[in-house]
Amino acid sequence: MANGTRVRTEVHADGPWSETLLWYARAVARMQERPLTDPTSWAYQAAVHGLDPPGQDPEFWDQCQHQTWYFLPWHRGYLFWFEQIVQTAIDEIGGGPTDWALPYWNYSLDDAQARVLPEPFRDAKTPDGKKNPLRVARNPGVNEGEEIFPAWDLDVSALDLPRFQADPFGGSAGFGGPATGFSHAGTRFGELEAVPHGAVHVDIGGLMSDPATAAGDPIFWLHHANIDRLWEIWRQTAGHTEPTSGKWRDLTFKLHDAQRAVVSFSAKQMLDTTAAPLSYRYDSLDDPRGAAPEEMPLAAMAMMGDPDSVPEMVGATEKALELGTGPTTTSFQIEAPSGPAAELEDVGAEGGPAVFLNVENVTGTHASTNYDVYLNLPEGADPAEHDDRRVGTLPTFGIERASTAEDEHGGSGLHRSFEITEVMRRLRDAGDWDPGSLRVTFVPRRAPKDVPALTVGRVSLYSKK
Amino acid sequence: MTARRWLQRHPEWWALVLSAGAWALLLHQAIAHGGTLANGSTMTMADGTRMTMSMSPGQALTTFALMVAAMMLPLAVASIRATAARSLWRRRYLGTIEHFVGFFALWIAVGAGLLGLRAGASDAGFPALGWAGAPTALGLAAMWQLTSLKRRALNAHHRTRPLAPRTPRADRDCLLYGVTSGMQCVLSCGPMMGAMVLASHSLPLMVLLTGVVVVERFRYRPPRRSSAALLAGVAVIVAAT
Repeated sequence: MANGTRVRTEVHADGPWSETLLWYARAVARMQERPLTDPTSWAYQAAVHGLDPPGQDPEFWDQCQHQTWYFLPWHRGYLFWFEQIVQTAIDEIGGGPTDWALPYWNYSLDDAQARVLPEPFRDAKTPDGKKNPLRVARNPGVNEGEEIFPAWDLDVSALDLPRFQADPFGGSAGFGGPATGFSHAGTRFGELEAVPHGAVHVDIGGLMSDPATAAGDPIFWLHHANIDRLWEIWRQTAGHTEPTSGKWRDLTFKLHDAQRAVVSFSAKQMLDTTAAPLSYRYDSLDDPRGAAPEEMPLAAMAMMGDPDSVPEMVGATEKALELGTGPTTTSFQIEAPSGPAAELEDVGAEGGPAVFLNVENVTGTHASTNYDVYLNLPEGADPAEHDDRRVGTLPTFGIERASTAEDEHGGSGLHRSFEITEVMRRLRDAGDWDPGSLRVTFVPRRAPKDVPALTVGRVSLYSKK
Repeated sequence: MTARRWLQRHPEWWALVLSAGAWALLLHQAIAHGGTLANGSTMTMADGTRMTMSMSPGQALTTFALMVAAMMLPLAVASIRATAARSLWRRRYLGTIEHFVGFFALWIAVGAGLLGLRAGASDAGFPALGWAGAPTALGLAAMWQLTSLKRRALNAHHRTRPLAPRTPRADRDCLLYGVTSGMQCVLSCGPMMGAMVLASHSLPLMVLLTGVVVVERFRYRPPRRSSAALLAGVAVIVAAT
């Protein structure tokens, strides 16, 4: 720990059962011995993120912020104080490191092994010969060392988005999500929250597939450390800044520290990780896109259109769509923009408006799989042969809460928006773009447990100046 | 941001203007009638004599409509805005008006029912309703705050629904969105509005209840126990005065 600053390292950095992982396992076991009523217990820390059923301690449990611009700052504070609690557990056990820092799992590395669940989370026993507390039930194959993620689910194009805050309804998801109040279970994903964050949760499955249980899986903390690191990578790019609004900066959240005292924090305190109260850094902030960050913003800015412009709806499906076990296709009519985007060139043309596909009011009982979304996929075609028509991943993380009328702000389902301007241009160049209609296909990654697995309330197209 | 751009971002602006207009009219009415708004309330004249206001059913319903516009429209702006955002540009104002019609019509139907009940009770010889109505209705509203139905209705206030893009399905969907928003609003705030109708209420009471419903609407976890205690306290004060 240099100058009191903890250094978070990649989970594979020092071999499978590094000292960091071994002491993490010991600390988790220690925390699991503590009762739910103890704020430093494993169960309590998991309940802070979410609990099933919800609402037993509304002040400190069910606090995780999702589908909101507080997603990143809240989780940063949550991870930081969890890290302190783990360090204290290590100190209590004795003989461990005094500078323990939460490792991160960089699944975006160009190495197939990076996409396999790290070994310490799969082994039945620790090197001490004890039952491994890091292993919990997950999706088939995950604990068996199979490659978990399709490359799409690790897409980090969110880093290209210069704006933190989402556009008004229908436009860009923004890097950090939509402006909301306190939002334990919201509706509309920010781009980073959707992919890779949400997609990875669902790909791992088990406890991880639901916000109400996710933090009970020890890999949760390493996954979120990587999401937190991606925020740092986004921050170091010129022109990328967080909202200046007091509404974002000043909303206060509460947690417990390692001494079980209540601590309060707000987003503005979560910006500089090397300053108090945080005092940590990552061993690497290499850009996973492999491009010089300063080259990105201008192109991305042009794609997103005028930040103050209002997106206008130019087409939508007439009725809801049930997604089954195989590909499901819907189509709808498109109109020429008649609002702010009307004065621009044609949709899809150079200098034309930015275009967004919105998948709205997605409801379901549980997150059993993610979906790939394609435009104008030929009938009967193998989606795998048409990557050029793929617009992105529809993650289902959080769908239970978003679909449950019992929950605060629940019942509307999830909402995902995809920036599809480039895909449209490709289709146009290939002569497969009909300005009067659009066909959208949803392909499940694995056969959902229930049929229909999901209902999509509406698919719509928005155009933005 | 230009005014044009601001109006594009806030297509719900007219609902707030309507609400402000309703507040202005009610304030004017209250000032003209010594701080009261409703049928059956008493006012003190300059010479010290007291006289009872008497409103026709039409006037009473108009006053109720103004109260709904003043108190409830600010609660509906988010769903009105969502309706506009989910409509084709050429029909986004039409969509918001259809939403408003559904929302408002439901409230007017409820108001007509409540006023009818009030008139029926008076005709049936329940003179106690005049002085006991306010505290009783406020007490019931306080109890309602703690029910699961109230909690569910508050949660549902935030719900959106898919809207078809084109007429006639779009018209039907916008209208139904307004009606369902109105139903949740009635379930959530109806008992408080009932207290306003069944009692000889004052403008300060209306302001207080507006504060309660606005806080409930915009807080993530509404302080239902605190608002129940507040309503119960107000019921006691009204009963004692």
